[in-house]
Amino acid sequence: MPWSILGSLARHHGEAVDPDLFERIKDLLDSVLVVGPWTIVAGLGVLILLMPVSVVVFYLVQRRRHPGPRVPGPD
Amino acid sequence: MTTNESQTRGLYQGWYVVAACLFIALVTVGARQTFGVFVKPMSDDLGWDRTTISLAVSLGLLVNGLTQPFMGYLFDRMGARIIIASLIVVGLATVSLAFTFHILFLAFMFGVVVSTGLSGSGLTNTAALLSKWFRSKRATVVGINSAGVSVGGLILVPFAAYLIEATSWRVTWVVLGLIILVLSVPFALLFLRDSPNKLGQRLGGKPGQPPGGAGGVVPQPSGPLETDQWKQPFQSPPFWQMSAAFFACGATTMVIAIHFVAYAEEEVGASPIMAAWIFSFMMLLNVAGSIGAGILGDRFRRKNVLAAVYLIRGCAYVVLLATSSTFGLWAFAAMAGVSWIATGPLTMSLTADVYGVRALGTISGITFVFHQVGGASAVLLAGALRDATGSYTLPFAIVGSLLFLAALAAFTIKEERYSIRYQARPAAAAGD
Repeated sequence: MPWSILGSLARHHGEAVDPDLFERIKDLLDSVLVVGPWTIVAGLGVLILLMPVSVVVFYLVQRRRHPGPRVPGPD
Repeated sequence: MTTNESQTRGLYQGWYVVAACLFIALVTVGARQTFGVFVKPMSDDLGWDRTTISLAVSLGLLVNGLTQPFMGYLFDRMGARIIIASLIVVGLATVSLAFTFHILFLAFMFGVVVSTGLSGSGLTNTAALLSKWFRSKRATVVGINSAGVSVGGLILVPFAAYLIEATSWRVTWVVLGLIILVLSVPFALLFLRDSPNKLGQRLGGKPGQPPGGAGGVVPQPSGPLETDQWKQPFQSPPFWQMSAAFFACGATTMVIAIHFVAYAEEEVGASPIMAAWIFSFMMLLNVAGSIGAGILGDRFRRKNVLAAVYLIRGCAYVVLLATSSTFGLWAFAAMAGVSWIATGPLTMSLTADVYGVRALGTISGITFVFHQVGGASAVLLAGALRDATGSYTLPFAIVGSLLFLAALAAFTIKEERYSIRYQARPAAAAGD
């Protein structure tokens, strides 16, 4: 019984996207975006990659413009 | 140019810590939220039914809630190292999910290892870290950090779904794990530091001499309830006021996350497509709500903004029940969306202001348990009442009414008496 309650909770739990709800949202996306899955994966992948890379590039530019003591290693 | 001048002219190191924490939230919580898109392909491939595979998520929910105070305690002792170590664990465990062959493997790896790791790299610990770097902009940076959760879901869930479509679920788990290991771990190693003091910078990055920079220790202001003992807050009202309000927060967000679409379709008559659009709209507004609440929390009394957020969400429930129409659903989505995770940054920054940062990881972790308990109990109550009465009206009315009590609890916090923001500061330490 407790497992079935937990299972029912998990099937729709908000922290992990609801599979049925997402299927509908994906249908919506498919109707709006007329491109293949690889194009979307590549686009989102580049976006994910650019986030840390752009911050590191900005940091290096800042360091070049404002030289100071090096940041020490992990505490 | 002296060393101190060069430090103050460049961008404050704390903003790089914000960027690292935001990216950690984005990839780790995003990876967790993607589990839903794996349910069908994994079930089909391994011959499991939906309930069986969902047990891993249930276990993860439980473990994540229960381990939060423990991982917070470790953060208070070990600092940013525990966040980085947790990231490595989450990344390796995520990769290992590609080799899932038995439900017990999945339950252990996702339900125990990933979920425990996520407690270590989660919002309560990163918010505690950011609180050490910022004071006057504390709620803003914690709000930006919290928004990473929503942005992560918006980016990683479709990324994972289309990658599964293009390849397989096993390849997709490996890619998600590698994103954590290859991108977020080096990023965290580069920028995550425990406090500005160790870099010789001032809290908040304001110009002036760093603490101890003139050869002496600059006296730091402290609040009357500031403590390094995690049990100490149990004896003071603000902890119980914030925790009780957070209980209502968990109850009202999880009930909607689970029952909103069913309510929209069954009781309002919205089409499945419409319900999906409305729910997506609500999730999109999370980002603006989280950052906006943080900015307002830094400008005004945090407890008043927190009370306003609970009040707005309470009014959203009233609108939802009073209108029972598609317009009501959209109005609810707008009001609930902006207040959905806005409580987090305000509660965490107020906790830091009142109790200090030395035991903040543990204290915030305990507060988070109230949130999770509120959510789980409300979901069960709502389901039971829905079955008993045949309608969501009563359960939504009950959890919605909790929000007005939460607003009252937040509003009556004596912030001026307890918060560091309103204590007299020694002149030398008043830079932030």
